[in-house]
Amino acid sequence: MRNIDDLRQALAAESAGVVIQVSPERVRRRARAVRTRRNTTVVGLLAVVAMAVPGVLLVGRPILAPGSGASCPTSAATGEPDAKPSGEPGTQLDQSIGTGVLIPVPERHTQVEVVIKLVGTVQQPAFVVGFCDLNDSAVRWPTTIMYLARAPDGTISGKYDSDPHFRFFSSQVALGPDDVLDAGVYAGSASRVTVTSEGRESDAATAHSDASGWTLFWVWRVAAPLPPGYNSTPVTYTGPEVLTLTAYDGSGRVQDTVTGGFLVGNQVQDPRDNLPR
Amino acid sequence: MPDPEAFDDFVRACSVRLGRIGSLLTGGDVARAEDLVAEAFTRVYLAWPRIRAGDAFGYARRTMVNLHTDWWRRQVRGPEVLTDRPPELANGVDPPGDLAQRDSLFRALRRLTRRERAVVVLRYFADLTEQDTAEELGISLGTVKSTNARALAKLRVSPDLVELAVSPQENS
Repeated sequence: MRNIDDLRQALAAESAGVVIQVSPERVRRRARAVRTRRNTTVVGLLAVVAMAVPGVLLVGRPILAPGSGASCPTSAATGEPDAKPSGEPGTQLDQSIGTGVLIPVPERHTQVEVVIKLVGTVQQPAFVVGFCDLNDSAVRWPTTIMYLARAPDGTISGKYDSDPHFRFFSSQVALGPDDVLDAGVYAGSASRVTVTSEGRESDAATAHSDASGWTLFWVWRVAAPLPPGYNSTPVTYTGPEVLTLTAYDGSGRVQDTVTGGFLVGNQVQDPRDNLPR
Repeated sequence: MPDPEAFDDFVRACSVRLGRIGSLLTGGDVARAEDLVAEAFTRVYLAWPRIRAGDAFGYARRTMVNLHTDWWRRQVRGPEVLTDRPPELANGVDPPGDLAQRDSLFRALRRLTRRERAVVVLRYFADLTEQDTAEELGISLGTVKSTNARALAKLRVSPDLVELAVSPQENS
């Protein structure tokens, strides 16, 4: 081996006789085992958390959970449908969607994809924003879970009985100074959902949850992030950045719209928090 | 779910190449190489809808390299895979010195650190540039250069390759 060309040839020649046999079926079995293990972990975690949270506190500040170990959703754009249509209060929800928005985390030598989920039951749903590590397809970063109390009419209950009900809940991931991901649920069926701020309207991608009758939406857009804690103070925030969410029916008519409020644009922890950007 | 036929095609098309990379990364440990390949395919399968239109082979190769080089992941190594096949398969043909040289190269590779081995394999077997190697391993370009130089220096004086020294001016 006198030079680099010899080294190249030697590496090619030495490995040429190696026989590795991995069948697709073996891969599938292995993947099923991984999925089962991860799903068991996350279902158990959510069950414990759900039992520990009193119903009266279903609407409140986001809860930070440790890394759940759940696998990334394998459906990229549209998500897989959750449980069969039923609308029964006890029906389990389990709809995961990869938003396609990637966040580089060079300090950890990886990238994460923002994933959103609707979990819990029809009566006590929760909207989840998590981060999937592309190195190993595991959702191990801080996950924000927002429990939403479902009112008898299918909308989202307010904090107190006398409060009006809500049609929208949304979270916002601040990706940069003019770069945000807005994602949330519309408590109803919508053909189109738009997110508007600073006079710019963006169409959101949508996925319908048959079991709950709700619509998940998400959109990556150019906009200034909402200031931290803007909707958690006693003083109503009036701008300059205000978010307007609008749902349309199949014929293009506005079904519902909301501007600002404490269920719109909730802040989400992301893997780069406490890291220099 | 991944498209079964497309994924099966991918596995069939890439098994050999990934197996060769795995065997070089592990210094000829075929069982460990097979485990790396299987794990890489599993992760590709789980991420198939997202990566199928992109560089799925690159994703699998990157997964293998990172699984093998990250020291902290080695601490939680997966279960051992039992195999009824010997680490070297005899094919009945041994051109003069072939098996001996193969063994000596694998022995020489085993003397390198995992990162050094990964750099050598990516640079001179996978034919990646230094920049691509840096991105693949998640390290700086400078680290790739220094690691590569160190690895070649070790190979040059390796007792297993003593008569086959790599000349210094070729370190590029």
